[in-house]
Amino acid sequence: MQPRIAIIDDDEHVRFSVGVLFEVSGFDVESFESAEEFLGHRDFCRFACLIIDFRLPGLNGLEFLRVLRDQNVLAPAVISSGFISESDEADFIAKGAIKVLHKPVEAKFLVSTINDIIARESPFVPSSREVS
Amino acid sequence: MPVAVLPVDEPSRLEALRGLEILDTDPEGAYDDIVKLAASLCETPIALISLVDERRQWFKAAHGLESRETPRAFAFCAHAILTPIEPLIVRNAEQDSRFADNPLVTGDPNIRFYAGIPLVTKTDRQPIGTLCVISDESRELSDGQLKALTVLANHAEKLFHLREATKELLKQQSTLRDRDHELARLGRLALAGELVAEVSHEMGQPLYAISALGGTLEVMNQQRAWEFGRTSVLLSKLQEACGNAGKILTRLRQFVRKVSPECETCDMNEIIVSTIEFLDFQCRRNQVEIQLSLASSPLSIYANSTHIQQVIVNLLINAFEAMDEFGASDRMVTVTSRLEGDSVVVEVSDSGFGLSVSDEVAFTAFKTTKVDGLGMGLSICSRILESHSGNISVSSHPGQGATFRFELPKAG
Repeated sequence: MQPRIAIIDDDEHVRFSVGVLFEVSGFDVESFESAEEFLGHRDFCRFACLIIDFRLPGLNGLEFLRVLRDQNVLAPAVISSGFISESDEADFIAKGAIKVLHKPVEAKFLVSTINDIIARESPFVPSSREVS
Repeated sequence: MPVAVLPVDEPSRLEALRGLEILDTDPEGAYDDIVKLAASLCETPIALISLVDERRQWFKAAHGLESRETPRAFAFCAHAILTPIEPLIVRNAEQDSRFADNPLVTGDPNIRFYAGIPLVTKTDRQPIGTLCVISDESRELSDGQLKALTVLANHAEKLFHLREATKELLKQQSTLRDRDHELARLGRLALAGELVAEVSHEMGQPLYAISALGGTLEVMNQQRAWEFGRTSVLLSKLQEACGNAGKILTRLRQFVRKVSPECETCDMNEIIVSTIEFLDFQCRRNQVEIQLSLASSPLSIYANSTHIQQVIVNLLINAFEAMDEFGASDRMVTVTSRLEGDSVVVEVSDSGFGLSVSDEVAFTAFKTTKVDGLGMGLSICSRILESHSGNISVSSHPGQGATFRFELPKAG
């Protein structure tokens, strides 16, 4: 079974590119352009990992994390950001993000990071095929 | 022939004279009238306003004399300025050891009589020249004539003082203008600083996509999983992402490029549209809808377009921030432009809460230079518009948003 991950980013180029990277790396990927769209998904609780853009239109990253916690979503959440201060980063970790990644994230590093996180943290899914 | 000694502080005197920037300027009616009147009142054929330069005396005004200058070595005035507070009167030059063999006495214009009142600068009290009357006949001035000559000399001096004051005023004006430019530039840098966060985020997106696409191609390569169709899509996406990154950089460069302080005729509508394009990303991120209602024909202004762009950026960001608390569907900014008489008027209205202070206080807020972004931004807007002979005002009704309105004189 392939690990199922969600990419939440308002930039369609990022959704496409990161999505296809994870697909060829053996993941089952679903993309959303906002927190609201994600929360409208019928089984949003069943993802192995969430990759969330720091700056989303509507609910922003921090508010999104709070809602996830309220909804008992257990999937580890990774925040990706183009510009984030150290205090914001600490804030994200305190509010339940498992890791903050700085865009642009190098592809191999991104895949191996998500693999590690899923292996370590995810309540659901076995780790995917290794990417050499 | 004894040449006049130099005044006590000759370098300072020359500096004061040159500071006036009057040497070799065109004749001016006000000075000409004074020498005409002096010659008439003193009944002499010649009257001069003479300025004693390093090696010559130069005449700002000359009545009854063709030449505009003579060598300083022969100048009676070079003697006159040695005693700045009293006139020099020579009744008969032939019998005066200082002047008897002077070529201006032995030859043309055969000076016999000379009366010169030194003219002194206002700031440094430096004797720069004289108002003098000259005759080829030996004679005396009556008390009345000497008094009249002194009064006229005072007037000539006043003209010089006015010139000094004007020079000083222009200098101050240009210093102020330089400061305004510098302030505007600093404001732009501060704004650029605030925009770094935005731009980093924005730049991160295409680079992130490029990195992911590269990684995808690498994985496909390792898996020998080449598919012509899919590879083509990935490659074209790669190029698109590179193009997007380039566009972001171009936009940023256009905004922070060093501009000359030159004004030019430009179209206000064009400036508005290009500024809104520049803020497109902030606009989308803040989920603000911008409604444009621009005059149908171009609105010509004579302005530094970068500075005006800066005013609009500040007003738009201000409007975005005013609506932070609102739901996305209520975030609306309206930008209108129109011609009102001889003024080009631009209004930026938001749908926020409106200002919590009275209009009057909001105006004073423009004048203060708060250090934080917004206060400084508005204060800079106000200065930029003032330096363009324009102005800015705000009207606000609690609960109905605020409207910032600025106007500039239309060009041509």
